[in-house]
Amino acid sequence: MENQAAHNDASQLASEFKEYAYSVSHDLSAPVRAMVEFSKILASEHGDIINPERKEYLTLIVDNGQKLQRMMEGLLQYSRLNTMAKPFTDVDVGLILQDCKMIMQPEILSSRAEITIGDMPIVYADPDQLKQLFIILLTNAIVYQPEGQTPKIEISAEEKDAAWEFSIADNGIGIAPKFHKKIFGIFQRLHTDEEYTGVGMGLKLAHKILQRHAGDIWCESMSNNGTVFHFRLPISPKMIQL
Amino acid sequence: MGRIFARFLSRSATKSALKDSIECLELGWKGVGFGIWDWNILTNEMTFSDRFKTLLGYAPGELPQHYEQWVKRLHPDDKQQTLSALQTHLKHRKQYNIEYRMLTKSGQWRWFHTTGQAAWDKKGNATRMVGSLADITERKHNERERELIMEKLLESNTELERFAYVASHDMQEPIRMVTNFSEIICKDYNSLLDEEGKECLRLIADSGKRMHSIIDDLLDYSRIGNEDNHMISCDGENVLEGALENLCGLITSHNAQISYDPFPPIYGNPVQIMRLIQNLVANGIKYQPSGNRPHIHIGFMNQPEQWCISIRDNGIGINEKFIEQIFQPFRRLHAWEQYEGTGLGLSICKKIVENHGGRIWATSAPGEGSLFYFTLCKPQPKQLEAA
Amino acid sequence: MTADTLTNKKRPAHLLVVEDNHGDIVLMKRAFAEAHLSTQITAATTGEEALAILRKAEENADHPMPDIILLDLNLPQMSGHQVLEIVKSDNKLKHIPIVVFSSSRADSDVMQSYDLHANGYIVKPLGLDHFNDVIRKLEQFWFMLAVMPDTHTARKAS
Repeated sequence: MENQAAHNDASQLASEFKEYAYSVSHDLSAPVRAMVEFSKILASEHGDIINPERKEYLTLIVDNGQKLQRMMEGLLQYSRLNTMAKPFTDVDVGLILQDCKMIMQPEILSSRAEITIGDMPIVYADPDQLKQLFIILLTNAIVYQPEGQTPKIEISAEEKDAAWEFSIADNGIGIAPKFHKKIFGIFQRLHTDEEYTGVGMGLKLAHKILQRHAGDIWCESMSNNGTVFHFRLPISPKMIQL
Repeated sequence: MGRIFARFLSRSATKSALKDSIECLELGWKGVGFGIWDWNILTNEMTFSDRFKTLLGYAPGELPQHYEQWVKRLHPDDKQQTLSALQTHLKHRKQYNIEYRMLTKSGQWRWFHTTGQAAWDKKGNATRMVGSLADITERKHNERERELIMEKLLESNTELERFAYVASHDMQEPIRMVTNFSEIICKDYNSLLDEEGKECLRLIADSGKRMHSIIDDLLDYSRIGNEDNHMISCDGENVLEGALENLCGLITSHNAQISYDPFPPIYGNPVQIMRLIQNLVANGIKYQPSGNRPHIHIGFMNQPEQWCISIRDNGIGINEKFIEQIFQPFRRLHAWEQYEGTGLGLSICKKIVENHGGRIWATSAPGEGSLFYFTLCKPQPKQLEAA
Repeated sequence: MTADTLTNKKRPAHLLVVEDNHGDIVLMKRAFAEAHLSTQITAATTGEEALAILRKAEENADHPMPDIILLDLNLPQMSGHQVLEIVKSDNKLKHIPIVVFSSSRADSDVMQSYDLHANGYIVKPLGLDHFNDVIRKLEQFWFMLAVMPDTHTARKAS
């Protein structure tokens, strides 16, 4: 009986997440949209009155408005992890990765990224969240590259200790060991917007997805030496439905 | 239980009477499902009732009647604690009431609860002890499951709050940028902009202001209970006046009339309580029919265990069916264009009140204004001294 | 060359701003442009960049050492606190006043900053007028009131 009360609290928490998502999407997105749209109009149709050296003011307005939109999108994704979570089923990781490549066609084409995929197993997971996870990791591998370099990405899987351990290795700019924890924070970034665009939410989402799957994610990397992201999916995860 | 065992011990002094007595004792408790054990401390013989043996998966004749049979079945993690509790009872006569795991015949570990009572000779040495055994494995598993759920819940709860805090905090930055720079453009170039340009700027500024409100409230909501939570005894009137001072802009612009009963000392976090009163009074001022002059009265009732504070307004009122929902986060009953509000004000109030161990509720009807109540603990005498 | 207020030294003030938000750098430059004393602002967008600038100033007399540093805490790689710690333990740099300029109001951030010998902590104000007001007050204290060491002497002393 007491467990029932705990479950009730749990579903109340889930509904709080839903409410938060509702607020972020409904109440905040309208003013953000207005902000972005009107600043674009201001910049394009009235920008000429502003002398060139102050032009950056307009750019700042538009850029920050868009940054806010991306932050909100990230937040929404985060709360959806709780509110739109699907039950686990058997998932063919190979097929998921094919899907990801299709979805990411534009980025892959424009960066000319080469992606090699090893033998992939069948895992017990939430298919949509697994897809989201791979997209996050692949996007990072493509974006954080030295100027002009072709991204080379290798995805492999290995059975280890009652779990599947996946590795996504890239030849990008790498991450110094002292930042290996920071990158999983909310809106935490290692670069300014001028260097690489991003909101700093991707790895936080990835971590949350792995948490839900009773798994783990970590990175192996040094500066300028490429990065390998590893994540573990237990073969039969026992999750407490929250 | 101990007394019953003690009486039993004094009556069944002889060995032959022993076995019969145990069965009698057990018969009396058959319905309850306990097993009984009887330990002759001098010879280390231990008699186990049939029920006891059944609990461990043994048939009546199977388990040898010896103290060692019990000890060797104890779980290694529980053994030391159990034996030490036993010794404490024998030497210092402290109550023996303990839970531990035992190995059953089939090799399973199950959880048991034991109580027992010893008898001592004239020299103060323990000679005999009798006790009960009950299987509590079911209960232990439920407890563990509940613990895990609560742990996860606490983690998620803290996570949501921390998340809302960091996210909200970080979102302030781009909003600040947009607001500041549109203000700069407005200042520097207002004369050069045409109507549409000026309108753009105004809309940008408005959006910024609105977002800032929402995020500010989100921050407040996630802060309560996490930051600065110290409680002290404070002057109620000071807190009330502080709240009204913070609202003076709103009070003036709406020409609101505020009255209040004398306030006693209160115990709590002054900043939070001020915020609580502020939110409730602000609602009373804002949610008014057009052209109506807001009248707000803050009342105070001395109840046996607590103070009960009420805030009455003559505003638009709330439909009975929403009267509980309004305290939920992000629950709004009106569009932003009608009445500006973030949907967090009342849930912040609720969080503050609950943080102080109180209750908050409202009574209202459409067109008849609203009455909000909340309770606060009275300061204890020594808390008053500390003030 | 003696210790004196920056205003009296009859030369531009040198300000190092460590801030990753480009918008805030623009706002600061704008606000300081109104200052009585001409201010030369060097901006570093990461802690690493700031330290590199300071090292260059140490070694090369052509690069002026900043008179004061405005430091944000939330930086992309090395945190503001780490920058603070490094500068305040370097004998050639620790004399430079560092004022933390952060949007965080958290107790732990404030305490840690002062523990690491920050010379002040200011919370970034939200509105434009407030912002300008804060810069005015910084100017009043650090440029007009506080007496600063003679950097020439400071360099020789170490």
